[in-house]
Amino acid sequence: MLVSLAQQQILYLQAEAEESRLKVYGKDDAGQRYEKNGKSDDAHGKITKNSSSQEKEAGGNTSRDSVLGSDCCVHAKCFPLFKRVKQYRKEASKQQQPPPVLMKKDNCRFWGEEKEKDAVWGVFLKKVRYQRPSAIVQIVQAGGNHNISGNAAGGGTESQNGSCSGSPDESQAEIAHLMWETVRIKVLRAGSLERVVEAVANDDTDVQATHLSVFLATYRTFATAPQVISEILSIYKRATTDMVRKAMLDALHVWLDTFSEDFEQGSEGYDCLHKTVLPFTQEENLKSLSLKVQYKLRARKKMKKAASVHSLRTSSPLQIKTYCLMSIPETHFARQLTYFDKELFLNLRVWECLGQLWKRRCGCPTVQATVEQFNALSGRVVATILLDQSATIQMRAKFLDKWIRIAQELRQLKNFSSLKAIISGLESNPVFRLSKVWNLISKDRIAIYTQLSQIFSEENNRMAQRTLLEMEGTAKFPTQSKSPKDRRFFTRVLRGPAAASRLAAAAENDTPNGTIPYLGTFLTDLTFIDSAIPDRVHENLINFEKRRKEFEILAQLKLLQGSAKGYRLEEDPYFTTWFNALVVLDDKVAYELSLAIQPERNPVKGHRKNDSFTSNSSSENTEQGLQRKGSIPSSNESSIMYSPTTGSTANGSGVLSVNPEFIVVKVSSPTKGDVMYKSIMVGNSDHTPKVIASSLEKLGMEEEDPKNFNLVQVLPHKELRFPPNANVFYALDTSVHPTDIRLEVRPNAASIHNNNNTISHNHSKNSVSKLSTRST
Amino acid sequence: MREYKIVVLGSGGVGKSALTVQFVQGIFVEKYDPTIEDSYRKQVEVEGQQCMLEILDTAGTEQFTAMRDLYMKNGQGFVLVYSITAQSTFNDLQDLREQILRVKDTDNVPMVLVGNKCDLEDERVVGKDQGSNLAHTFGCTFLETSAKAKINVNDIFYDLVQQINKVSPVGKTKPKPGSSRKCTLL
Repeated sequence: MLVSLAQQQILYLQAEAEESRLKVYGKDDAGQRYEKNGKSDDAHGKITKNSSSQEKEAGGNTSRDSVLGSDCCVHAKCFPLFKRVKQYRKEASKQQQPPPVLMKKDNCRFWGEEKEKDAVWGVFLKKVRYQRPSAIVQIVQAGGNHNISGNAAGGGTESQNGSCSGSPDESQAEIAHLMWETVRIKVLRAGSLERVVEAVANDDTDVQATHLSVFLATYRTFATAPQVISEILSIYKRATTDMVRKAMLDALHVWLDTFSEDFEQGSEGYDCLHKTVLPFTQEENLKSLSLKVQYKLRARKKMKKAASVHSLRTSSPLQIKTYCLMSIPETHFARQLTYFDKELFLNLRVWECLGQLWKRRCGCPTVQATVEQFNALSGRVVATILLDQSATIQMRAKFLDKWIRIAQELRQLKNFSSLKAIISGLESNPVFRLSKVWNLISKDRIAIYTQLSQIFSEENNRMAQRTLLEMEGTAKFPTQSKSPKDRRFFTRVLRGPAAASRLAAAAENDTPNGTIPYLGTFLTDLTFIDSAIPDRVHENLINFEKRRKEFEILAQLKLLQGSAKGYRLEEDPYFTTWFNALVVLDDKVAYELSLAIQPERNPVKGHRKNDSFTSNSSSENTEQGLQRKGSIPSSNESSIMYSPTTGSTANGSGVLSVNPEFIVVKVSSPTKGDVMYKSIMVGNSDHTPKVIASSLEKLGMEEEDPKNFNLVQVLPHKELRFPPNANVFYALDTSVHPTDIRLEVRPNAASIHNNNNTISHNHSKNSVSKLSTRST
Repeated sequence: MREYKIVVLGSGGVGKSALTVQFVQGIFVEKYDPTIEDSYRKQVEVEGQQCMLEILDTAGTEQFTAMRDLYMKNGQGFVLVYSITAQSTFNDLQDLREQILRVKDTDNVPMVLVGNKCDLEDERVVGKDQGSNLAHTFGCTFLETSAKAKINVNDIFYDLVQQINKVSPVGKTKPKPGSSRKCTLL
């Protein structure tokens, strides 16, 4: 009953294809017609009214939908989900209409809202591949002119050639030409608890599966486990059809299988299982459920025991061997940190991240544990650099350098949680202000560090981080793992006692890794959804649409959890003991230690090192200094002002060895009329056409032909027009601060004259448009 | 157009995210999506100038204490939020402010102290005078707000923009000379 990956992908292909025929099953009981909302461009289907068999028809079209799946479809290669979510965001940001959780790309179109007692339904029309029903009801064929989507050209033939391979040969003559049909789908938007539970028995199998997944992942925000159980049982008892009874039992089965934490010993759920569900299964003679319940009641106890044995083992005092920060090979270090994080992440109960639950800060032990590990690592980064009072500046620089190397290994392992924790530690004020220490770090290493910290730039709602996660979240390798530089890091001969693990690490060099995300971004997103969308709508009905939105984010976490299973790591108990014994400093103590290492001099002293690398003179007054400080992202302040991107003009040779991955730039277009800009990533192999294309896409102008546009960098005193096939990454003028890099895509046709300050190339036919000279 | 980076800080549960959403989105929107890049960006006119506000709200990650310095370094102006219904959230702000001053390495940081949830008058535990006294010692603006009742929400951000303008006047920002010079060329 759950949507499989393959089916989802097929759906994608289907969605790509176009068709010209349409069959609509409509419902006429109330004689209702739903006017289409707003400005969408599609569908002129006629509605065939048939009240008798359409329910069944719709139900028969199984597994076609691609709403966010449940656990079963969450596995390592589930890329379409991310794509779909991205697509959805794009749609949502463009359209003013209520957002269908079923996306437009999936040929699902919002039709209207239907209200009944204690429930509000969203009605969607969905286009699906036609399957010959057992009994053919009335079919009305929409004419060939009625294309469902805007792209009309050749629709008919394409669908004939491209997508009919799977259709049944034995189709009867009058429907042989039908490739697609449109079915009506009802999705619960809001309802009372009773109606929300009842909706699990939706007649559409896919909607049902999704509804159940969303429900089980989020019900804790509006009901308790015993409430839900009693609701399920009472619906079961008064049900008149087998379908409803079966759906209720299925729900219990799935719940017991996937959220066993709800039935842990001592919980309300456990008692309820014991007192209510067990007698119920015996009464109704439900053998398999009864067995499962009994098994769960026993299994809990066993699990508890196993867990306590494990914790005993890890907390037993082990001799701290000769471990110290410098002696642990960074590969080993990173793998051990990833081992911790992996355990925490796999144990994470994603529903604990829900804004409403996390806000209360209770009953979220797995989130709490993740946060604690993050803070502990950051704190230890700070402490190892500051604590040893006898250490020289050189020694501290070595510690700092070591952490950067560990961070780099973490990047390879795609452990974004510990990576961010280390970066946070290094950027925490007590460490960050130690310019004397930072000055001793090699230029290459600083560049690597800058590159790593840019991943977590807060710019544009953490766009760099989100994009990277989207790209690599479920991929096997980090995107840049093949550069010679990285290889050198990997294959460097390691010293120290862990020779065996070094070999193991080397052997696993090419094995796929999972991904561990930085949880904070998800927590923030969920907190905001919780704040922005009301829990109850339509006179106190549960706003299930909100839960669906939350589930979208939870599903991403689930997906990443699936990928994190790909890590093959073993714990080194000596490391664990050593790491846990490291001291963490209080903020103020850390600052005092920092002052002892390098005393305060004047308000802008921490940033004096800038001067050698940037054009800003040291004679800036305090106010300007402050303003500058505020306006640039943390990753680029102070001694690391020459980021790899800045370096690309200042120091060409440095760039090659550093191999920066990407830079985030702002793009806008004069034809869009508004002043808002979007951000895009420019990689070091992106040429002009690609950058134009991605800019247009980001600006919602994907229907435009990129060939009709050219690309301009807007600089304070001039403009730089890129040649038609420039490598934009290297061509960019980076004399401005990286966050001030602004590009414009401009239509060729509008070209009027050539600006004096524009760098124009011989082979480019068009000059810069006059529009560009408007003040920004 | 000048950009302003504003950081919203305060303990968990004080309603930071509600303030930010109220300011950026204004009315309740069904299509709200916190993950798109301009979710926290808003253009406003202050003192006759168009300004682009980028709001960094730490909601949900308050307990990632290790991240605070990073947030603070990014900000030009700060909104320190407590809830008038929870004394501890008020007490936490003293440390936060000290941390900001340490990170910014100056005493003159644009800042607004905000007592949120002023619609919950019958649950009030932090008096208005307590708030204004603290603001006085901080040397910053004080506002009591309600995201729910839409009281004083925009004022927080307008006030901050004015403070930032005062600390670093518009005329000295980089984009300005550039654009004016372009205009003369036209």
